[in-house]
Amino acid sequence: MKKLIAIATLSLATSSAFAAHGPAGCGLGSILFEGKEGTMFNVLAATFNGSSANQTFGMSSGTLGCEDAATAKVSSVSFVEGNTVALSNDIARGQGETLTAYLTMINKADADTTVLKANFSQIFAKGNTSADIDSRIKNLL
Amino acid sequence: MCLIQSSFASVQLEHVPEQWLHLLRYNKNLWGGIESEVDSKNFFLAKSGKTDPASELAANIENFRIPIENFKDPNQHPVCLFPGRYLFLKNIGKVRTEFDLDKCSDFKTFKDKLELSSVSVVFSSYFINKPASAFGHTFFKLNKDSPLKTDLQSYGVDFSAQVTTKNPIAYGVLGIFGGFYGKFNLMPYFLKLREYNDYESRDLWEFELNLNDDELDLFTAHLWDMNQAAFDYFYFSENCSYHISRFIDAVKPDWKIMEAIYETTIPIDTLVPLKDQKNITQDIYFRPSQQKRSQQKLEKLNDIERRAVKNSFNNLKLAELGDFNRNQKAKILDAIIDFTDYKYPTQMHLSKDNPIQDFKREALIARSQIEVTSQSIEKFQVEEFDSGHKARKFGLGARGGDRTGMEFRHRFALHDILEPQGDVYSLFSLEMGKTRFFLERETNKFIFEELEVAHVEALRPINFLEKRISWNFDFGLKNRFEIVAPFLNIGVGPSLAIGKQNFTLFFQTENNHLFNEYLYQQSYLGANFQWLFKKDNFGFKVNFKKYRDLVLAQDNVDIVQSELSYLPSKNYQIAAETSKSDLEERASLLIYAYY
Repeated sequence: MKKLIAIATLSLATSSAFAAHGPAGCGLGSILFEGKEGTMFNVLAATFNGSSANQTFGMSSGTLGCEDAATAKVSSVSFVEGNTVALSNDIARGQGETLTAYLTMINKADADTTVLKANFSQIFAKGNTSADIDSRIKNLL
Repeated sequence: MCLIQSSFASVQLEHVPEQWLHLLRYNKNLWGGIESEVDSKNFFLAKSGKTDPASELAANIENFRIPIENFKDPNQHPVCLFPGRYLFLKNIGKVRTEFDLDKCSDFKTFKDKLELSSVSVVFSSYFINKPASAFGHTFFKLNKDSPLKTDLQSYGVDFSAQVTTKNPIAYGVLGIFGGFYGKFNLMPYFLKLREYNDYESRDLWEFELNLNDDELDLFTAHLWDMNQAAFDYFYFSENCSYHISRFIDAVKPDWKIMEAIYETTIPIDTLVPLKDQKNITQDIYFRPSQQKRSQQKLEKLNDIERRAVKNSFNNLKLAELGDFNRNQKAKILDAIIDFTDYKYPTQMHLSKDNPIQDFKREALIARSQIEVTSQSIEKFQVEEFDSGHKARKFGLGARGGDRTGMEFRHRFALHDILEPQGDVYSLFSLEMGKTRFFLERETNKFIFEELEVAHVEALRPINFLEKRISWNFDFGLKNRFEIVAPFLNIGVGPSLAIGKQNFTLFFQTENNHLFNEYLYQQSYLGANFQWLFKKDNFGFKVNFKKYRDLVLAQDNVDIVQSELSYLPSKNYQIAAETSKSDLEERASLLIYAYY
C-alpha cells in the first residue's frame, strides 16, 4: 500500500496531466497487489482474481484512472503510462502494435516513425514521465 | 485461478420467458425455490424480485412505461438503469412503449466509447513460474474492430472479487465462503495484456463469439444492467468462469453454455463448448506470452550471437557488438530487449530507476540507432485450440506385487507432466485432490491409501541464459500401518532437456507420518534422479532415488519408481506404475476416464 501511495504521490508531483485521468494512474502499478501486502497475500490475490475495492472499474465513464474526464475515453498520457515498456520497445525497433495504436489514438496514423526512432533517447530520457513522453512524441510529429 | 463446482440448475416457469431468467440470473436454490444469484437490492424493481421472477417481470414492464420527463436525472429512469432488460422485453413484444435509449446519456457515453464490433472470450493460460496462475482465468474482450488490429483500443471485462481485507487468512476464508462481493469490471484491454501476457508471461487465447448486431446491442446493454449487480463471490462456485458463462447464456440462451459445462470444474473446461459446439466461435486467436516471444528471438541467434547476449547479461552491460553487421546487431539487441522484459517483469513494470532498467535503456538506445526494422508477430489467428485433456478423471485398475487387489483413483484437477500438453500445458504437474483406494484381494478390505492435496512439479530446463532450478512438492495424507497421517515431499535441482527427454536431479526429502509417534515416522533425505520421455500422447518417466533414512540413521535406502501414460483418445488414459524398494514392491495397471 505504501508503494501505491508513493507511486500515486510521485505521479501527482511530477505531472499535472495526471489530474485529468485520476490520481491512481493507469499503469500496472495501479491494478496489481504485487509487492504491496506480502507474498502470501499476493499469491491469494492472484489465485482468487481479487481486485482492490478502492478501484473504480464500473461500467460508467472515467474507469480506473485511465480516461479523460471530459471525453470518457482513454487519454494518450494514460495510454503511454499503461504501455510504456511496449511503446519504448516499438519506437526503438521502428514499428510495432503498440506504436501503431498510439499513433492512431493521436490521429497520426500515417506519421513517419523514423523521426521517433532517431530521437529515442530524447523521448525516453531518464526520469521522463508519461506526460513528458507523450508531449515529446507529439512535438516531434 | 478460479474453479467451478457448478451449482447451476436451469429453471423454467410458465409465463416467464426463459431468457428473462438468464438475464436476471435466476437459479434453483437449495430448498427447491427460485432465487437470483444477484445479491444487491437495487438490481430488482419488485420488492420480492430476488425470489419471484414473475413479479419482477411485471414490475419492470410497469416501470418502463413511466415517462422519462418524470425523472430529474434521466439516467435514473428504469430503462436507463436496465437497458438490457428493456431491449429484451421490447424484442419479444412485452413492452410496446418506444423509448429513445439515446436519452440515457450515461449509457450512450458508455456505448459510444465501446464501439462494440465483436466479443471475444479470452483464456489466460498457465505459467508455472507463477503458481497462482494455476487453473487459468477467463474474461471478455470487447473488440472495437478486427481482433487482429484493435486490441490496444478495446476494453476488457472481467468478474472478480472486490477484496476488502489485507489479512491473508481472512482473504482465504472470505474468498471461499462468499465474504467478498464479486462484480463485473471494465478496463482498457491493454491493462489485461500487460498484466497477463507481459508481466505474468501467460499465453492468451481468444474465442471470438458469433454474435449478430442485435445480440451485440443486447450484450452492451446487459453489461450496463450488470452495473447494478453485486454477487457474493464463492471461490468454488460463483466465480469468474461461472459468471462469464452465465453472461453468454443471458445474451444467447440458444447456445446453452451452462448446460454444456455443468459437470466441469476448471476454466479451461468451460472453453470446451465454445470450441466444440458449432457456430459459437467464429475465429480463434493466439497471443504468445512474453516468455515465448523472448524464446523465439533467442532461437534465431547463432552461437556467437548468443555469446554476445550472455556476456551482456553477465555484466549487465552491453557487450561489444562492433564485429557484427547491422542485421546481426538488431537481432542480438531485440533478443536482449525481450529477454529483459520476460526475466525482470517487476523491475520493468513496477519500479523506477533500477540497474535493470538502465541496462535495458542502453540496449534500446543502441537498437534505435540501427536502421533495421524488426518484424515481430505479436498475435495471430489459429485454426484449432487443443486443450490437451479434461481436468478431472477417475481410474480403475489392478495391482500386483506384495499385495494384490484392485485400485480406485480420482483426481479433481488439473494436469500431470506425463499427460499430453495440448496448446496450454508445458513441463509441469499441477494436481489437486488425488485420492487412492485399494481393495485387497486377500483380506477383501477396502482401504483408503492416500490423498494428495497438492502435487506440483515444475521442470525448468537450464539454458544458456538461465540456470534455473526445477522443483517439486506434494503433501497430503497417507495410510501406513492403518494409521492415516500427513506426508510432505519437497525437491529442488537442475534439469536438462535434450530433444524429447528431460534429465533432472532433485535434492529430495520425503517424509511420512508427520506429527506421529517417532517409531512410525519416516524421513528420507537424498538424491532423486528422474528421466522423462514425452511424445504426443505418450509419456514415461523413471525415478531412481537414493536416500538416507534420518529416523533410523541408515544409508542406502534405494527406491526405483516408473510411470507410463498413454491416451488413445481425449477421454481415456492407460497408465502403469511400478515401485520397488526394500519395504515394498508393487505394480499397477489402470484405465482412467476423463470427465
